[in-house]
Amino acid sequence: MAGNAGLIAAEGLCYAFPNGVSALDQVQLRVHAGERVALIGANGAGKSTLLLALAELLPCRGKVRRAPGCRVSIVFQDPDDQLFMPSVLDEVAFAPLNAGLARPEARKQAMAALERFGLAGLEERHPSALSIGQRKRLCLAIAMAMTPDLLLLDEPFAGLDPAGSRELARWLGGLEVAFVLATHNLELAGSLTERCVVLQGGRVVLECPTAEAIADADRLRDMGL
Amino acid sequence: MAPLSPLGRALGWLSPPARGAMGLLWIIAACVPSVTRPLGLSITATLALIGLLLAGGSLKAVGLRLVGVLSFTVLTVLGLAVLPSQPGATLVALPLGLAAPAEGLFFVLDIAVRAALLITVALALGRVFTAREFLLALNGLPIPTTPRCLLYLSGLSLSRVKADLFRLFRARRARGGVRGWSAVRSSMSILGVLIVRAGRSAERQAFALQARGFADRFPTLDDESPSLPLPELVVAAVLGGVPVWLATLA
Ligand SMILES: Nc1ncnc2c1ncn2[C@@H]1O[C@H](COP(=O)(O)OP(=O)(O)OP(=O)(O)O)[C@@H](O)[C@H]1O
Ligand SMILES: [Mg+2]
Repeated sequence: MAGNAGLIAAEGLCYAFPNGVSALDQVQLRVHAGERVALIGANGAGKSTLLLALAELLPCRGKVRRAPGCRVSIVFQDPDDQLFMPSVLDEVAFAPLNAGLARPEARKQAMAALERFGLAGLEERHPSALSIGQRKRLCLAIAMAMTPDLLLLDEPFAGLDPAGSRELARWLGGLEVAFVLATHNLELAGSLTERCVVLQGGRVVLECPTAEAIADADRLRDMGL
Repeated sequence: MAPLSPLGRALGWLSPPARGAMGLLWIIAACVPSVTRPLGLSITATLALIGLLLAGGSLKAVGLRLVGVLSFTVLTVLGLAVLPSQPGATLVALPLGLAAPAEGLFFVLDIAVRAALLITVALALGRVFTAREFLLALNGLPIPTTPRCLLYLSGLSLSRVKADLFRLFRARRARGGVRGWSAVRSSMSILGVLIVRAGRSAERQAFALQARGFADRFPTLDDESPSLPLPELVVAAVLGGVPVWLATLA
């Protein structure tokens, strides 16, 4: 699936919200199989919009090309936007059941995903009765239950407790799936990703090894970081 | 989810789909009465009131729901009085020195009464199901796919709007309470915020459905039985059918 074209390639992406705000401007981005990319930028730089565009959820100008059979999962910035089933277990089993998996398989898969994200014992809870951090973990479990080739993560560390952040970082570090990680946490971005893309005003203003970008503190400050 | 109301506990032995079938019949019963059939109307109103009382919550909460429903009815009917009527129409006197044309009055009265009954029944039914049972009920009933999904999503957005409403009012209290006219004004602006937020969250929900592999159903891990067992169906039909019959009495 890897190939030279990569897992996913965005070419000349442009997007303006209906109110006229231009959020993406001629964005080029390519992610290869197993690659880890950090998406960095100040508030309002267009990170969330770019992730939605990569998931092909926005009617953008330009192109998003996926390798044949490449599955993409996205974790939204706000977990409440992503949850709609009446129990934690049903949330995680939703995609497997919709994909046609039999109930016992789907249950087993969902239980394993919940276990992995520290949500065992909360299966019967209504998602709105979880803490924000627990809801974020739930969204990660949901995304992983879809067995993606590429994971799009929008601020997954925001709202997690220190132990939860460390655990998620450890888990992401051991992941074989490619991911794009939008984050304000430069330290974690540095330890988890090889390459970073810096957005400013909807444009890619810098693309380089993450360590290099973090070392250039003056430049990051100029970009509002 | 919220603990079930006394009504919900009393009906708890019925499976969610059977309760759903009964609920659908109650909704029909709320749409049947007419001011021209006072007996059916008063029986239905009494039953709806009992349902509201059994829907649980403090007496104050029940009172507030009742005040809401009643003021809705009165406002709808009074609305008729401020509409221009045709010259020469027979006018019926209303309280507050207002008057409304006779034919229109019965028509509007019927709609207002049915709407009020519908809201009351919906409030009572809302506490008969947990969120999960509501979905199980929908999945277990022979409803076509699209209306089933629409019903589920409307229920979902209603509960979200309600949660949002609580948050907004809490935020207003946190900024310092307001009284009198400015309370009304700020409530209006809260309503505006609520509508904008509902629109935005509907957009995100649509993204989420698409991103999470939605294929026109909301399956749960519990098996949905393909058909309701006959005894349950009979009980649901009686519990739901009797109010419909009573509502038609003249
Ligand atoms: N629904 C919307 N309607 C109009 N403009 C929007 C909307 N959502 C975002 N924007 C604007 O689009 C731009 C990009 O927003 P986006 O949410 O992608 O930023 P971000 O980089 O994710 O920021 P943050 O770090 O705060 O999450 C911003 O200028 C924002 O104000
Ligand atoms: Mg964002």
